[in-house]
Amino acid sequence: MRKSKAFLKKEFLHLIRDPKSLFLISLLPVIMLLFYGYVVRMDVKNIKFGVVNYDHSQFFEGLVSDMEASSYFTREGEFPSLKDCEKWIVKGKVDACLIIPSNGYKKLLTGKDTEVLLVLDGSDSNLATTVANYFHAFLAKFNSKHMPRGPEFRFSVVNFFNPELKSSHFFVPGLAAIFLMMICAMLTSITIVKEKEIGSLKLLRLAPVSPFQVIVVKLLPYLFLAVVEASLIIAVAELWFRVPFRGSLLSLGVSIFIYMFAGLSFGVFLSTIASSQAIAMILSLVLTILPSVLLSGFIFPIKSMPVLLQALTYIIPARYFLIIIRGIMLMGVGFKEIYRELVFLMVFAIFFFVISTFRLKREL
Amino acid sequence: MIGPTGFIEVRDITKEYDGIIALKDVSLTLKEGKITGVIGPDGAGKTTLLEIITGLRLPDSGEVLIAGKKWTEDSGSLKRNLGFVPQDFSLYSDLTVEENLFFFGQIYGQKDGTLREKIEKLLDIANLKKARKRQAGKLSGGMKQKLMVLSCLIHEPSVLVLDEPTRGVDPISRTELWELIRFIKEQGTTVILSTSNMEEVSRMDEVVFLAEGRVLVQIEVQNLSELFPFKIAEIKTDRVEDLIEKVEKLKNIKATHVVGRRVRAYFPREYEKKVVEELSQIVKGWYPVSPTAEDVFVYLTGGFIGE
Repeated sequence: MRKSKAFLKKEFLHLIRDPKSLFLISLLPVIMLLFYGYVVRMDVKNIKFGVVNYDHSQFFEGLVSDMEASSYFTREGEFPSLKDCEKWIVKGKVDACLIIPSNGYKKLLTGKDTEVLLVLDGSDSNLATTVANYFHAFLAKFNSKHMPRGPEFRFSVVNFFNPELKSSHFFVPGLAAIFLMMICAMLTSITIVKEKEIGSLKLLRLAPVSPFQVIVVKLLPYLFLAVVEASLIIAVAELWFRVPFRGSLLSLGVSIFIYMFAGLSFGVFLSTIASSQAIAMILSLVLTILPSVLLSGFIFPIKSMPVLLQALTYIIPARYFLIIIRGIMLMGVGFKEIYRELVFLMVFAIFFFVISTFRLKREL
Repeated sequence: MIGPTGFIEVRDITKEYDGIIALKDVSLTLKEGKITGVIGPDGAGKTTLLEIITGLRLPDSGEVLIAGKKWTEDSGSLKRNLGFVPQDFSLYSDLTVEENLFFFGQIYGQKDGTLREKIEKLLDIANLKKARKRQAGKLSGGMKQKLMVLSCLIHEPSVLVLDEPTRGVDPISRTELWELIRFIKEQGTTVILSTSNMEEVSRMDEVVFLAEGRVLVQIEVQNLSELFPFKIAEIKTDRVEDLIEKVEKLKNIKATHVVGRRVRAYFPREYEKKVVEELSQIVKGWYPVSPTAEDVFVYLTGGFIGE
C-alpha cells in the first residue's frame, strides 16, 4: 500500500510539474470535439449551380427561384450552352448545371412528362451524390406543390469526369494528396532536429556554411525520394485502381514537384521548431494528416464549414493539390486551369523555406 | 592562420541563465601555442566559457577577441581558424570514420586530393587506421573522442577548443588522447580544454581555475604550488585512524587528509621546523610532498581536501 501511495504521489507530481501535458490531457479533447463538431458534417449547403435554360418560360423561372429560395442551392449564373457551364464546373465555380430543355413547359401543358438534366462534377463523387439526392428531394416537393395530379416532372443526372461515380476515382487522388504531404513533411521533419539531438549542429555552426546551403542540401535528396514516391503512387492509382488519366504528364509532374517542395519545406520548418525527433515526427503527422483530411475538402465539403474554418482551409496545401490532381487526372485540365493553385503552393513552399532558413540562421 | 599572435582575450564576460549566474566578470588572456586548461567542478561555467570563446553562445556582457578579431565582426575568418570538440559525441554514427572526416573536410572547403592525404596522416597519428571503415557509432568511447578531435583538426585550425575531452574515457584512451593533444600543440595550435579531472593539470601549460562562474586564478602550471601557502607531510601507516588522532592533536597542523594508507598533514610553511619536531615524536618517518592541483583548487575555494 505504501509503495502504491509513493508511486501515485510521484505520478501526480509528474503531472503537476508538466503543465503542457496537463493542458493536453484536460483541454485538448474538448477543443478537438468542438473542432470536429464543426468540420465533420456531411450535409451540404450553398450548392452553387448554373442554369442553361432553353425554355425561358415563367414556369421554369419559378423552378429556379424555388431552388434559390431553399437554403441549399445558390444560382451562380445563366449560361448559353452546356459547354459554357462545363467550363465553370472545371474551374470549380459551380457544383451543378441544370439544363432545361426547349418546349419543356409546353410538354407539361399537353400532359406529357418532362425531364430536366442535372449535370454534376463526378470528380467529387461524394458531393455529386449529395447534390443529386438534394435535387431529388427538392423536385419531389416541387411536384407535389405545383403538379399534384399532373404529368410527371422528372430529372436525370449526368456525372461529368466520373460517369459511374466510382469512389476509387474520388478517393485515390485525394489519398495521394494526403499521403504525399505526410511523407514529405515526415521525411524532412527530423533532418535539422536530428543534428540538434546528436550535437552535430554545433559543429555545423562553427563551419563556414550558410543556413541556405544547409537547407538546400537537406531538401534535395528528399525531393528526389519524394518524386520517386509520388511516381509510384500515381502509377498504382492508374494501373491498379484504374483512375483515368486525362491530363498531361508534364502538368502533373510539375504540380507534384511543387507540392513536394511545399511539403518538404514545411517539414524542415517543423524540424527547426521541434525539440526532439519524436516531437518532430508527431508534429508532422498531426499537422499534415489531420488538416489534409478535415480541411482540404477531401471528405467534408468546405462549404458546409463555419466561415472561420473555411478561411482556415485556404492555408492547407492539400486543398489546392486536390483540385490540381483531380483536375489533371479526371478532368484533363492544363496549367491554364490550375495556375492559381500552383502559385499558392509555390508561395507556401517558399514561405516555409525562407522561415526555416531564418530560424536555422539563428541556430547557426 | 589566425595571425601572428593568435592569442585569445576574454574581457569581462558575464552570462546568466534564467537569473542564475553562469559566468561573472570573467577576464582571461590565453597564450598562443600553449595548452590552457579550464579547471573546475561541474556547474562551474566551463562549458559556457568555452562556448562563448567559440562563438556558439553570446555573452550578456563583455567580449571575446581572437587575434584581435571579434565574433561579431569577422565570424567567417574565425570559424575557419577554430575547431571545437563538444563534450558529447556529435558526429554521424551511421557514417564511417573516413566518411565523417571527409564530410567535415569538405564543408571546410578542402580539396579531395589534399583531404585524402590529411586523413591518412591524422588516422595514423590517432592510431585509427584499422577503424577507418567502421561506423562511428560502433567505435569505443576513446576512439569516438579521438575521431571527434580529428574531425575538428581536418581544417587545420589555429585554435582548438575541447570541452571535457577525457570525460568517461578509459585510462589507456585518455593517455592516447593526451598524446594527440600534445602533438596538436607541437604543430603550433593553441589548445584550450576544460576538465574537472585535476590529475590532468600536469599535462597542461597553464590553468584557469573556475568556480561558481568566477575565475579563481589563471597561472602557469609550473607555478601552481606557489599559490599554496602550506607544506604537506605524508606519513605511511597501517593504522590510519590512530595516526590521524595523534596528528590532529599537534598544535600547528591545519588539516589532515587520508589517501589510501597514507595520511597527509597540512601545516603553514613558517611552522615547518616546529612541525618536524612534533612529528618526529609520534612517527618514525615522513616525507614532504608537493601540493596537487586539487589541493590548490580546494584551498582557493576556501578549504582543504577532506574538510
